[in-house]
Amino acid sequence: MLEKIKENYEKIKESKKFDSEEFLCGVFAMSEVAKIENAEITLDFYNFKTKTITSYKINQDVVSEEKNQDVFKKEDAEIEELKLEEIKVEFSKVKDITEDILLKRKEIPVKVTLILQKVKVPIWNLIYITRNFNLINVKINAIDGEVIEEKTISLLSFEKS
Amino acid sequence: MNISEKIKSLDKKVVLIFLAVFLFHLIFQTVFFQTLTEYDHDRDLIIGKEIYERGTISYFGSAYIINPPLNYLMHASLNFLSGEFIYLHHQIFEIVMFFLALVLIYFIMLELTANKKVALYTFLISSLAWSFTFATAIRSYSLTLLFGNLIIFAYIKYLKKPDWKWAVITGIVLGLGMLAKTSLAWLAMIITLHFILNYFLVENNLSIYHFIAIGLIAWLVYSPWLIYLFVNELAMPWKSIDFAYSAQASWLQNFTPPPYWQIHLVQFKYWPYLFIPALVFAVYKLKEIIKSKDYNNPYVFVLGLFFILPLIIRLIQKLLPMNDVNMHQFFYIFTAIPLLALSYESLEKINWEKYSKYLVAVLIILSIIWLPIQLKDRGTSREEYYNANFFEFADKLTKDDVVLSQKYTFFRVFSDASSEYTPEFNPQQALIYSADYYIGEAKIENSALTFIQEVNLPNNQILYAYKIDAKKILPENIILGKMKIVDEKENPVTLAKCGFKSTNLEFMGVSNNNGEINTPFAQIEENLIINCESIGYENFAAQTDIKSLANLNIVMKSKSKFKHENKNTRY
Repeated sequence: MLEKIKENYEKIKESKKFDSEEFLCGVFAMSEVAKIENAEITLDFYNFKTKTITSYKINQDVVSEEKNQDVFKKEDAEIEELKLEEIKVEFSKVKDITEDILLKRKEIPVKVTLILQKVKVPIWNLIYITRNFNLINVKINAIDGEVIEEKTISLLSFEKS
Repeated sequence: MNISEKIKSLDKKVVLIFLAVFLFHLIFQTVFFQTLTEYDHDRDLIIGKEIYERGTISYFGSAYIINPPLNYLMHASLNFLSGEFIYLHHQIFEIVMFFLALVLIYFIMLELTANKKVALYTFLISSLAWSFTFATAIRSYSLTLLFGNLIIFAYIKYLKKPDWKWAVITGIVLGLGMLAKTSLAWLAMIITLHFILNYFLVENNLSIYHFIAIGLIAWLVYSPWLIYLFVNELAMPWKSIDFAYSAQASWLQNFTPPPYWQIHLVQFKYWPYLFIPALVFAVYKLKEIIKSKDYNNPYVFVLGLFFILPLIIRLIQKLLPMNDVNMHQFFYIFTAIPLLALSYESLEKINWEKYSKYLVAVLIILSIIWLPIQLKDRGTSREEYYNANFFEFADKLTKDDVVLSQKYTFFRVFSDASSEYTPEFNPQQALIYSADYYIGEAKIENSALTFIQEVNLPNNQILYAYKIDAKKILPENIILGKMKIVDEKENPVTLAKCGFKSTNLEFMGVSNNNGEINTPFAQIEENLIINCESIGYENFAAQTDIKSLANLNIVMKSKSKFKHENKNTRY
């Protein structure tokens, strides 16, 4: 997975569509759990001049982009550059850690969202939607593999008034 | 013979085969073939969970009733029993119900033929057949199969020995069956037809009082549900059952109705194990009737109706502005068994010792031919389901088409994998169903939705289609809000009920043990009005212009008697 992200990153940088005033700020993928390794990966680049995000995808070596999206973040949060060379923990290890957590919580995952981002440190941020209609969020330090945060949110906990 | 005696009378070989089949399904469905056997939509479980958590029959907080409540209530009771929602419990529950339905097939065949070998093989073959046909113990079909078989079993028992006991049991299981799946009303119609024909045309011990009792008891069991629907101003079952209105279940299934002349043949693809024996016995029975020139025999009428009724239904559908539907499938699910049941007197006369090996051979040959076809069919239909495109479907709509029960009533959240109803855009629902799109009748502003196109329907209605951005629904980085309700001393306030309202967002939440309420969005486009109430605290009301709910604290004042007295006393 990490190799694929790096390959895609290089292809985007070489692409004519790439804007030099952008830096990588996040990686996003969403799929069924069993298919995550082959899921379509989106690389988000932050344009520090326009303060917008451009999302790039690669499909059969063709780069497509979605430009000028508003930044969606906490009001006071800063966008940090994600440097892929800083990432030392492979996705396979991240999967092992999260699978242990899910097993302990007796949760069967159905879908997973993978976010690779930097919030002070690079983070593997995995969000599972489970058979119990819960959302399990696990954040793992991508440098040393430490679990930074794990939490469960019930997806049925909201109701219309 | 009561049930415990019946169980004791089972020989060990049969019990071992039952056990092996149960274990096969348990392992097959929970471990190896989840993709074939899993819940293909989660509605029943979600409603069951909401009954348990909120005490209301609701679906994402909205009253949503497409099926009667027994299935939902049984799933909810599992939650009550274990004190939490565990998916595996529900899966095992469905497998147990499915297995019991199969065991009933054994007893039905035993009642009909009094031959254990035939009963056992029918049980085994039905186990395989229904597994693949129903993909397997999913949705409310396990209970449908169980109650369908229970109704048939009870009615056969009544026919063989018409007394009050089996009349009452038939009435109860018929009522419960309709509470599990309204489509089982088909069996009530078949039983009515059979009873009336038998009562008036042949010599029998049937009592019209028994018949009235069966109907009355079934109605009494079923009627609380109708009262519930009436009181809550919800749609009555006949508004949604197949016969009243219907359409192909979803645009995703790419259903092409079979031509008229194939309508019965198609059933061999879906239900061959019971249909082929049913037709073999029909020929046997007809031969008997022709020989005795007993043309008034009710079997002739029922068999005739069996062939004619689906054609009449299709004709009505053609004449009225309704889509062709696959509702006749439901008609066929159980009609093979009643057909067999109706020939029970003849079946008993057959020398089963002599003929059972032929029947078994036929069933085995059928398995070899049928199972690969069925597996391939499942694969193809799944592929079609995933590849279906709503927009192409909408383009092909004609003026008189009916979609999902009414003209152009679309499920609001949909994706290539599933479609579900929601009266308004619901981010959690979109996440659970991996929805890619949302369509609605009005334009809406929502940060997670990007408008893509208008869909012009042939009746001049316009729908607005949006692409859902999952990134903007997800937590934290990608985002769900979290509020904390605390008192003046920053202690968490539990079970505080809070309502949140802004221009495009309206929801309600109840705080957990840590005083937290998760909110569906963290970003608010407009001003937000918050109202909270909790026992022992003063009501909280505020209007705020904050744009982020990511970590909002709400402080509620305690109503503590001593505190207020201290504050307000001015002597």
